[in-house]
Amino acid sequence: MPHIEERSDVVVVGGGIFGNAIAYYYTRDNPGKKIVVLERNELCNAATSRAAALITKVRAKKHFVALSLETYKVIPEMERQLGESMDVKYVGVMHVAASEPSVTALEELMKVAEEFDQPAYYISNDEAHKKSPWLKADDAEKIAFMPGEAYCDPYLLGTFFSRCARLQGADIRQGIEATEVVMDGDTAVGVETTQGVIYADAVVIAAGAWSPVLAARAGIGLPMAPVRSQYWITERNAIFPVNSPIVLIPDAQTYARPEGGGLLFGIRESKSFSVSPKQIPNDISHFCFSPDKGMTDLSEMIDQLARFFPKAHDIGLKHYIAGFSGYTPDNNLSMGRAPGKNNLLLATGCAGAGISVSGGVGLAFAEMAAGRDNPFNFSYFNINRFGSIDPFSKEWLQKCASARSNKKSG
Amino acid sequence: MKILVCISKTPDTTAKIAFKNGNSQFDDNGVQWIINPYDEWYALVRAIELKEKDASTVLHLVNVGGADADPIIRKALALGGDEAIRINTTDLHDSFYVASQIAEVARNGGYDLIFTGKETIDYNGSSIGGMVAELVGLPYISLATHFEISGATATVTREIEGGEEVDEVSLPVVVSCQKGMAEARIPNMRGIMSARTKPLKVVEPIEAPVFTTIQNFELPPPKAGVKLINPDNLSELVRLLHEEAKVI
Amino acid sequence: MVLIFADQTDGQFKKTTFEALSYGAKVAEQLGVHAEALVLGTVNENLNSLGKYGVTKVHHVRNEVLNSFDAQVYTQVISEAVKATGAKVVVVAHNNTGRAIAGRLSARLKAAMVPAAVSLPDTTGGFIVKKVVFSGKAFANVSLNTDIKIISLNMNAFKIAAVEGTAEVSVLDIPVEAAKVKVVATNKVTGEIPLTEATRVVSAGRGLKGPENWGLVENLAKALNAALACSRPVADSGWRPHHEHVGQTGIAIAPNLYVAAGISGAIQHLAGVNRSKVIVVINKDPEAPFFKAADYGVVGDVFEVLPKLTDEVQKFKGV
Repeated sequence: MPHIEERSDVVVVGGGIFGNAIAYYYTRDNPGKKIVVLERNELCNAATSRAAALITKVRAKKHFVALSLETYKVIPEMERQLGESMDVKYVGVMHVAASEPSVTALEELMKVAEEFDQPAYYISNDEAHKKSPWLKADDAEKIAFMPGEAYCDPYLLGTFFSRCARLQGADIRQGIEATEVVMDGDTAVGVETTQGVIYADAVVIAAGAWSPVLAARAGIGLPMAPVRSQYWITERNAIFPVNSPIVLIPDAQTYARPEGGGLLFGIRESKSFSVSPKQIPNDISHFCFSPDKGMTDLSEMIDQLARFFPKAHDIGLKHYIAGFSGYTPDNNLSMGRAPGKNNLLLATGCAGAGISVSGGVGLAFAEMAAGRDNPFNFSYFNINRFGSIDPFSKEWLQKCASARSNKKSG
Repeated sequence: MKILVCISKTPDTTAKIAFKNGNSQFDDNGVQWIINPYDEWYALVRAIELKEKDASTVLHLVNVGGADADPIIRKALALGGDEAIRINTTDLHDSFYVASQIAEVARNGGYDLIFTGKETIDYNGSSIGGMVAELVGLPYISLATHFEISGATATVTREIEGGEEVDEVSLPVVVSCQKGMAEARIPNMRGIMSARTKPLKVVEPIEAPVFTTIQNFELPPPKAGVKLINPDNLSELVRLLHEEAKVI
Repeated sequence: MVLIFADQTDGQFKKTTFEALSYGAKVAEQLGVHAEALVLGTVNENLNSLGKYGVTKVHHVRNEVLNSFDAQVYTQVISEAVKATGAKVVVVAHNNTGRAIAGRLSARLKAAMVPAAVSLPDTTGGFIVKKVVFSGKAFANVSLNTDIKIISLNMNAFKIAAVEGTAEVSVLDIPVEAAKVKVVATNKVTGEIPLTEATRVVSAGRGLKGPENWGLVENLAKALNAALACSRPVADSGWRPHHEHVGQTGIAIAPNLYVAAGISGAIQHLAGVNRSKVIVVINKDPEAPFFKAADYGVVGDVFEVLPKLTDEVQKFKGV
C-alpha cells in the first residue's frame, strides 16, 4: 500500500451517525472547505444501524432538547435535497407514569415540553389503550401524550447525512482505518491511517465504542464505556398498529415502539454489560452479544413489564438486536474539545441518545471544526467532569454499565 | 406416545465462516449459536404439534455436545420439550460417534418416534437419522415434508426426485424432517421461564468408534469483486449470468 | 473394486446416477481397480449400456420388493452386495435416495462415509475426500479411516463422462427382507415456489419510489422465473407485504441468483441475502454498499435498467 500524505481542513474518524452528520453540516456551512471522513468498515453499520432510533425531543435533561430539535429541523432539509422521503414515523410519544416518583418526573417533563413549545397533554387510560392496544394502563396514575415526537430508521438517517454531505463535497471513505491521531506537542495535526497520513487543521474522533482507544493514544482518558444496548422485536399482532405511538414506561424501565407489525421494546436490565473498548472486535457484525439472546436479562424484568403489557409472557419474541452505546456514569454525552489539546474534538459517548441528538451534535462539531463557537451549551458533556479516569479499568467500566441499568427514561 | 427429537447446535445462519489453527477448526470466536434450523423449525415443532394433539405424549430432546449447548437446549425446552438429555462431549467427533450416542439413548428410552432435521447447516451430513435407525434396527424415512399419526401407524410424505411419495409405516420409526413438516415457532417468555425448571440431564458418552476425521477446512476463493456492466449493454449481463455464473 | 449404486426411479436412471457412475469409474481408475454398478429392482433400460459410463459389470438384484423404496431393505441388500462382491469403495449419489441410505449403510458396514462429496479422493497418503460444509460457504477435507469407504457424491459436482464400452450384466441373488415401509401414493409436485425455496429472487427497495412501480420488478421476476422480495423500508411503508421482506428482521434466503434493484444494502439487508450464490445489484448510487457484496453491478437508474434487462432476458429465452 503506498504511503500517501494528504491535506484536508478537517478529518473525522468514524463513519457512523455523528461522523456523517458532522460532514453534512461542515460542507453545508463551509463551502470550498475540505472534510474527510474515515470509516474502516461500512458507513453506519455498527451502533447506528442497531439503534432503536427514538428521536425524542422532550427530555428531563434539558440540555439534550436543543440538539434533538436540530435533528427535526435537518431531516426535511435533507429530504428536499435528495428528493426522497426518509419515512420518519411522526407517531408521538406516550409517557406512562404509575408511581409517585414517575408522576413527579412526568410533571417536570410537561414543563420542559411547555418551555420548548412542544405540544403535550394528559390523556385518559382508555385513550392510551386505544392508541396502543397492547398497553394495559389500569395502573397508570398519569399518562401524557406528546404528538410531536417520532422515530426513524437510523441507517437511513445516517446515510441521508452521508449522501447529502457527498453532494456538498464531503470526502467520505470506507475501508480505511485510522490508527493514530498525529500530535505535534499538544496540538492535533492529522490522522495516521492504514493508507497514509492526512494532515488537517482539526481532527474529530467520532468512533463510537472504539473512541477511547484512539483517544488514549493521543493521551486522553476519554470518560465513556461501551455498554451493551439490547432490544427485542415481537412477532406481528393486531395489537401493535403500525401508526401507534412510542410508549415510555419508567416504572417498567421500558421503551417500546411499533416495528413492522410487531412491537420493538427495550428494557434497562438490572445488570448491564460493558466491555473494554480494547476488547471489541473491529467489526461487530458477527459479534455474539448474548448466547441466549438476552433472555436471562429479559426474564428478570418480564413481570414488571407484564403489568403494563399483559401479553408480554405469551407473545413470540422474534428478533433480538444488540449493539454498543457509549455510556457515562451520569448518563450524559461525553463530548467537546479534548482537554489540554488543541484542534482535537471528541464527538463521543452517545448515552443511548445518539440518533436523537445527531443533528445538534453534527452542527456543534461542524462549527467547532471551522474554528467558530459551539452554538450549544456543552458544559454538561465536558470531558473533564470526572477528573482523571482510566477508561479501560474494571471499576470505570462497571460504573458506566450501572448508569444504564439505572436509567429510567428513553 | 414417546418422542425423541435430536437437536444440534450450529452457528447462526448469518455467522461469519472462518477457521483457525491452520484451518483445522472452525473459528467460533464471537459466534452466536442456534438450534440447527431443520431440527428446530421442522423436527421439534412437528413433535410439539403432535404433543398438543395428544397431551399424554412425552417429548424428549437429545443433544451431543458440551455445556455451551445449554442455551440452545433451553430454547428447545422453551418451545415445548419436556426434558432434555445432553451427552457430554466437547471433543470433535464424527457423525457415527454422535449417532452411536443418540442410538444409546434411543435404545434405552423406548421411543415411538425419533425425529431429526434433514441435515445440519454446518456439516451438511444428512447422516445421523439413518445411522441411528440402523443402529437401533428401525425403519427410516428421510426428507419428510408431512407427518401424520393414527394409532400405531404413521403416514409420512417424503421428497423424491421431482415429486413426493406417501409412505405408511408402523411405529417405532426414525424420520428426518424438512420444510413442510411444520411452521417455525417463536419462543415466548412463558416458555422460556418454564424451560428453566425442566430437567436437562447430562450423561457421559459411551465408547464408540470414529470412522472419519476432518483434516482441514477450505474457504472458496474470495469473490472477485463486483463486475460492473454498462447500463446500455445489458445483453452482456444476461450473457455473463448464463455463461459465467450459470444461474440462468 | 468400486461399487456404484445405480439408483433408479420407475425403472429409469437419473442424471445423478450417471454422475455417480462416471465418478466411481474415475475413482476406480485412480485406484487401479474395476468399477461395477449395482442395480436394484426392475429396470426398463438395457443394463449393458451402463458400460458407457465406465463400469465393466452391472450386478442386478431383481427382487420385486425393491421396486418400492425402503431405506432399511435397500441398506440390507446393498450391504450384502458389497460383501458378496468384495467392494472396497461404495459410491452413491447424494440425492434423496442417497441421503436416505448413506448413513444407514455406513452404520451397517461400519464403514467411513463422506456425504456431499465434491472431489475425487486424494489417495497419496490415505483416502481424503473434499465435501461441502457450512451450506456451501466452505469445504472440509475428510479422511475416511476404515477398510470400506462410502462416498455420497453431491449433485452437479462431477461431469458425466461417456466412454466406449458395454458392461457385463450379472444377476446377484440376495435374499431380501420384507419392506416395513409401504408406499401408498406418489405425486408430482407443482405450484408456486415459496421465497425461501426459490432458486432465483428479484428484490427491490426504496429506489422504486412507490408500490405503483412494482410492475417493473414483477416483469423481470416473471422473465427470470423468480420469486419476489423486498427490503425492510418497502415492507414497513406497506408497499409490499411483510412476507416478502428479506433481511435480518425478515427472512433469510439463499437463492442461486439474487437481483437487487434500488436497495442500498444496509447490513441488516445483507444478513438475509449473503448466502445467495450470485448477487446482481442495480443502483444509481455507485457508493451503495451493496456493490461490495455483489458479483455483478449496474450503476444506473432502475426505471431504465429494469425494463431493458427484462427485454434482454426475454430475448435470451427466445420469447
